[in-house]
Amino acid sequence: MVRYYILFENYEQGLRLHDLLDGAGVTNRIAPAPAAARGKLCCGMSLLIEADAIDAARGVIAREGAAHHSIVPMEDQLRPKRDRYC
Amino acid sequence: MIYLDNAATTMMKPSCVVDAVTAALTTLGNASRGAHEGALNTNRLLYKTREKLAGFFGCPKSEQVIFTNNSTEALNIALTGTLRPGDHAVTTVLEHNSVLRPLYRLQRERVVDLSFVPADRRGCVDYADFERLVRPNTRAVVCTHASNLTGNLLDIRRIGEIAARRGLLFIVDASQTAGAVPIDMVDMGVSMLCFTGHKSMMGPQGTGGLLINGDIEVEPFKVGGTGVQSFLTEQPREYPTRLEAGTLNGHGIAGLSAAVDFIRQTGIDAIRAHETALARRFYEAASAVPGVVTYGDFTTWERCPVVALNIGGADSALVCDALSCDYGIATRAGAHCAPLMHRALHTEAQGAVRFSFGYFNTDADVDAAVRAVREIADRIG
Repeated sequence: MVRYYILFENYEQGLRLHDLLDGAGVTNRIAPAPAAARGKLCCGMSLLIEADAIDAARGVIAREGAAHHSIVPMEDQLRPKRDRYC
Repeated sequence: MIYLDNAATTMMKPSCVVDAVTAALTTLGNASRGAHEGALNTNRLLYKTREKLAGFFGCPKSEQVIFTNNSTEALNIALTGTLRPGDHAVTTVLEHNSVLRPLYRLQRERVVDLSFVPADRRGCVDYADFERLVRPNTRAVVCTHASNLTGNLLDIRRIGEIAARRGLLFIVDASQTAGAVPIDMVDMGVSMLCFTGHKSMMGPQGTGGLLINGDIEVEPFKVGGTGVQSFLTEQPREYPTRLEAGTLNGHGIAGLSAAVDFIRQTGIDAIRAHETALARRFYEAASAVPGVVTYGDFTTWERCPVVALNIGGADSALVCDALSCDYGIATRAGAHCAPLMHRALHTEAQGAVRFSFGYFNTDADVDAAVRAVREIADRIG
């Protein structure tokens, strides 16, 4: 299952987009930024977006010109056993 | 929430700290700005708290206890106030960015040379390296008392002996140990001690200090209003005024003062024994879970109550997120502002999940965390 992490240069950018997405009714959740994805330039928080909401999130970012670093797709690493029996 | 992020800040504070801050909010004027009761209340508070802190950390002169907002500010004052162009400093890969970034800045702006004591895969240093790296132009040894990532303690007394023998300043970042591990600046040969109030001291955020042992000329990091010597165009030279410009955080310092009282009354040894027992209980159970890898030197319990780990190849942020969302357990993932330490541990890409224990944690908190680690490890398979 692929999920999307929106990464930021700092928490202020992240919390601003969080408010914008909430205001637009786009489901999102604050989560720790994946270590593998964030590299050296991102802060510790990300916004986690499920696959079915990512287009709406991109729309809000474009419409509002919301600052962010990048959007990274990532497999959920903690549920492989469940997936194995699906 | 089960709060296991005490190395970042202790969220639960003693009730006496809460009461002291609350009382201060309606009783403190501005210190050194007048002789009325409100201003004097604050002057008395600052004076008494300097005395307490000097006694607590073995600093010979209480007027050389400088209040700061945190360790980072104290370190900036200590480093920029003493390192001059052409100087060399010895530091370690265990350092937090609060040490590294000021040093890198001095390297860029003042051509201060740096040498780093390396660490092995357990995060341990070879003390001979401190002496080996000293050069003719070395002015200071700058190091943490304990790694905020592994919890490994450095033998400060041993490094202090090297610094003293070579005539060097010894600047210690006690962010992780102040309030958790006994410190005596004279006994340990520490020239300047930088601490924060909001971690193991159990005081409010926005408090901390720099303590100076001996006749060290530290140039001010910031200058400005002091309430005294107002017609002087330069910052007054007397400590502590020399290094304290602008209104101090009196309300926070009231809480810090109460926190020192709490530690003294409870006993730092009793606090340390409790926290170490929690960390040990967690380490012994969690490290036995298949797939769990821990980082640090656990051959000794002369260490801080921190256990950093990973589970299989899972990204530390995802494990941390699961701990928070599925189990209500607060930990810290990622790089912990310790880039060189992660590089030494080969955890740059994965990060690590840090569990850090505090005085108000219980065995039940630890057991819940172990169960969560076990279940997450089972999910990863």
